Amino acid sequence: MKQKLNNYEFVCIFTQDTTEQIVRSTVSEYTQKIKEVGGEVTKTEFCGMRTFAYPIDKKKKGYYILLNLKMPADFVKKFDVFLKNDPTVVRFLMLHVDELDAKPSELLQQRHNLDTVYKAQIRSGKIYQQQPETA
Amino acid sequence: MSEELTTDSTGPAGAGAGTRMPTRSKRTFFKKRRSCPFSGPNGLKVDYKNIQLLQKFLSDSGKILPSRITAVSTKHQRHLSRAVKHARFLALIPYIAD
Repeated sequence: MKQKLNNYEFVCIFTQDTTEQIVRSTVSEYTQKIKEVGGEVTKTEFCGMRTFAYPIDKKKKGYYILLNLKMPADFVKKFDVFLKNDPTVVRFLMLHVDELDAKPSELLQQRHNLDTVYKAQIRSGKIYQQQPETA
Repeated sequence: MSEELTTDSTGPAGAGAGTRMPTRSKRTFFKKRRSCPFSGPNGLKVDYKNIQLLQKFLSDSGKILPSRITAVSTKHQRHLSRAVKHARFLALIPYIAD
């Protein structure tokens, strides 16, 4: 019998101590786990390091990822337990949604915007001036 | 929409030299009510990841503004409050801003 698949939007925050390589490998681990159960990952986004609006566990930054998932409902609880035992995961949010958005999310777009702002500031010399005059 | 039509129709009718002043002063009372920004086919989409959008419906201290100020419909105010709470949980928006 074929299982009914639900749509989920999954946001996960990793600790600031991890590197992008570790994050990518753990995410591929997740996708493999989901595929084993019969689900699929329709979109993966690495939204990069962001500063928190408030400190979580005395930490100021975190690495955000976003996944669009299709998976059976009974796997959600098992996946939750798996994530809670992972020390590199600061926080995660799993939402059941009616439709999955295939376009790049606002989180990713904001990162690009921030990057362009940052580059523009470097070009105009705003950030360069902030560097200490130790040399 | 109906308000607009009536005001337009009274405009040329009350175009006489004597009657113009009172009609004009009366018209100021019929201010068009701002409609919900999320309703309709071209309405915005409530999304907990869109921080710039959510911040328009928050006060400076990070509280959710009442719908009587922002003119959001009751249904979308419910969705909005849930989106704000999701965004707060993910530390995209502060619980209390100072």
